[in-house]
Amino acid sequence: MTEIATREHTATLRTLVQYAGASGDFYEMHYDLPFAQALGHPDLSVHGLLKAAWLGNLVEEWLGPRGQLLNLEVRYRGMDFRDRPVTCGATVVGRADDVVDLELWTRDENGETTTVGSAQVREDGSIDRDATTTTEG
Amino acid sequence: MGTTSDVTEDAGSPARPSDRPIERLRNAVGWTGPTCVDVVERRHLRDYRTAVGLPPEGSSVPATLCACFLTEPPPMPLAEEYGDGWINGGDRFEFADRLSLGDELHSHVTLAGVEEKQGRTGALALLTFVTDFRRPDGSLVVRHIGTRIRR
Repeated sequence: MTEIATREHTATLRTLVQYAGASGDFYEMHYDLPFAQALGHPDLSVHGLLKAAWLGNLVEEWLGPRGQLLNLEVRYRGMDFRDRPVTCGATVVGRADDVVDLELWTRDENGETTTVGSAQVREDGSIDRDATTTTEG
Repeated sequence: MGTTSDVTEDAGSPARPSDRPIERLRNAVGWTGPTCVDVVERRHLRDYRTAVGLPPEGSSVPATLCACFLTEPPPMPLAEEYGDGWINGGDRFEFADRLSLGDELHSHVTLAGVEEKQGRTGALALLTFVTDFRRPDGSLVVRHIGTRIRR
């Protein structure tokens, strides 16, 4: 298993509003605190699809033009909230012919896993098979 | 008068299984939303890249941008009869082709599955929605499979 990268994101209210505007997802849970609290949440939650985008970015930046992203899947195990750091990570866990399997995850500030996922990429032959570990802040 | 008779016979009795929101949702599998047509536009790309933490000026289209062309929460009033709110359970993207600026995508959402589970705080309805994004010639670009939860 080779960790390809980790990256930390902290979604502010501005981030959540920017994502709502770009994605069209204006579900009030992401920007209306009384609405979120009425549903039992302690604060505004980060859009699940924003976390998927962060993980997708990790994989695509690692892959670059050297291959093609085939699929990306995430399952949300816990909620993340605004102004709290979310660490995103991706690890190479297998290869079969020209397809590379990756494991994806996000963790909250307490180290709890809040998202688990996977991705597959098809390499075009130029991906370093001994991909060195790169960790980015 | 059939209506009066029905009301009299049902008074005080539990709802028939087919009247329960979960059963109505199960019966709605196959429901499709309206067809949407979207274009990958430069200004939208800049806003999306900014929102997801990428440099805004880049011209490469993140694979997940097609999520912007989903309608979230799903536009299905029947689903809102179950529980009080939406939670995103998961997302899967299957990429058949890359997205580029100027691409036009046609899509519609389909309710593909309904499952009820007992969570820690009560019953949950897990709804699976599938959205195919196709070019005007019908070729598939991305398939999105979303699990959306009502609780």
